[in-house]
Amino acid sequence: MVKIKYLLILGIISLFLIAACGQQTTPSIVSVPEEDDHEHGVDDVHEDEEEHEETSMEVPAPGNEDVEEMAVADSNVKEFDIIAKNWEFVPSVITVNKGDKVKLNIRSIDVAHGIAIPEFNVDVKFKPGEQAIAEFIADKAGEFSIICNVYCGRGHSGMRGLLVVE
Amino acid sequence: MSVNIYHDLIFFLSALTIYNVFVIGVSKTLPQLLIAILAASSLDILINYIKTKKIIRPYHAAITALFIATILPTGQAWYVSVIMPFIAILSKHLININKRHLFNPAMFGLFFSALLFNQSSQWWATSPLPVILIFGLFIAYKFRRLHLALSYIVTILLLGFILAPSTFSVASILNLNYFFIFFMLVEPMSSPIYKKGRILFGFLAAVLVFSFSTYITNFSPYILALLAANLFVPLINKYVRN
Repeated sequence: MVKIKYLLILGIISLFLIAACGQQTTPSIVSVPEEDDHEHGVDDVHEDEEEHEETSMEVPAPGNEDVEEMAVADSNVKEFDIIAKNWEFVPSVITVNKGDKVKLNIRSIDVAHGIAIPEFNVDVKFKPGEQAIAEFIADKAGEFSIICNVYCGRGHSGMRGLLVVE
Repeated sequence: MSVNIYHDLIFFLSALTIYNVFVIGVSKTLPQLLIAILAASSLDILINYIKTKKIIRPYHAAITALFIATILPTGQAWYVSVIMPFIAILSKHLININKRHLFNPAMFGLFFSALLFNQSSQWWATSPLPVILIFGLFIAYKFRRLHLALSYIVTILLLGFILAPSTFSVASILNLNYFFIFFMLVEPMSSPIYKKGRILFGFLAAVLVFSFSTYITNFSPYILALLAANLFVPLINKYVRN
């Protein structure tokens, strides 16, 4: 019995090691230059992104950043650039149509954050200076919470956005 | 350990949870909460009955279920809310050394949730901070583990100040995960018996959380760190005494 118990504990330790040393499960994370991030506001970051991004995107009107999506993409993919910061996503609401293929380019401008939409198996974590990409097909209509899945401070539990699939 | 402290802990956790259920949305949170509590409590009662032939009130199981349901992302499938508490309760009864369970049961369940279902953690009941601080300080004091919590807080702030100065500020003190510190780290059955050992445990947990936060991004650092620190508790109990 004792031997079985020790084997069980040994097996669990092995699992810890595998989990701890395992490769990232996120679809992809790339480093982006972060020299400007700490010195500019969010609007400036949007401007800086325009130089880095290959896809075109619309900069929201001042004061309207949280309301709707930035957007566009090629004909098949709806692409969004999302800034994660304490304690919000900008934009906080993104709207797509049912059946759309959605691509989220997400980056943090302060501390480590994450983004998860459990209903679509989106689960990505990223540190400041990294750009994470999450892709999924919006095959269910409705309103779905976008949540931060990395504990990021006292406002963490309120860091939420909304995905609207029409 | 007096049962009354666990009554207090259940009361505080329930109050926090109910507040956040209404903030986030009843339909997204309540089902997984109820299913987890029911699953954990039923299994705990059953196992205790098989062992003792007595019906024992499942306070610990309810606490474990509350932790699991509030750390898992909202809107869980029902089977996740059943399987995770089952694994947690089984770990409590099966993996123990000197009649003390080795791992924090909730964290053990969440670890397997991450492995089996690729689940991350949301920690959706970690606000409002002032309430958590008041409840948490009371619980840590009652558990006689304030020094454990303090050791963790001082160590993780020092590590942040020294090794990650660009992201460190005075506000970092407010941004620590006090829900984890005051409700989970201080859990008596999976933390050291002796005072010096508890201080070492707090230090070790902080080093592990900081390391896992820095070097691992695909797994919750709190879950991995607490389980890894739990592994050292038998050794700490043996070699670090007052």
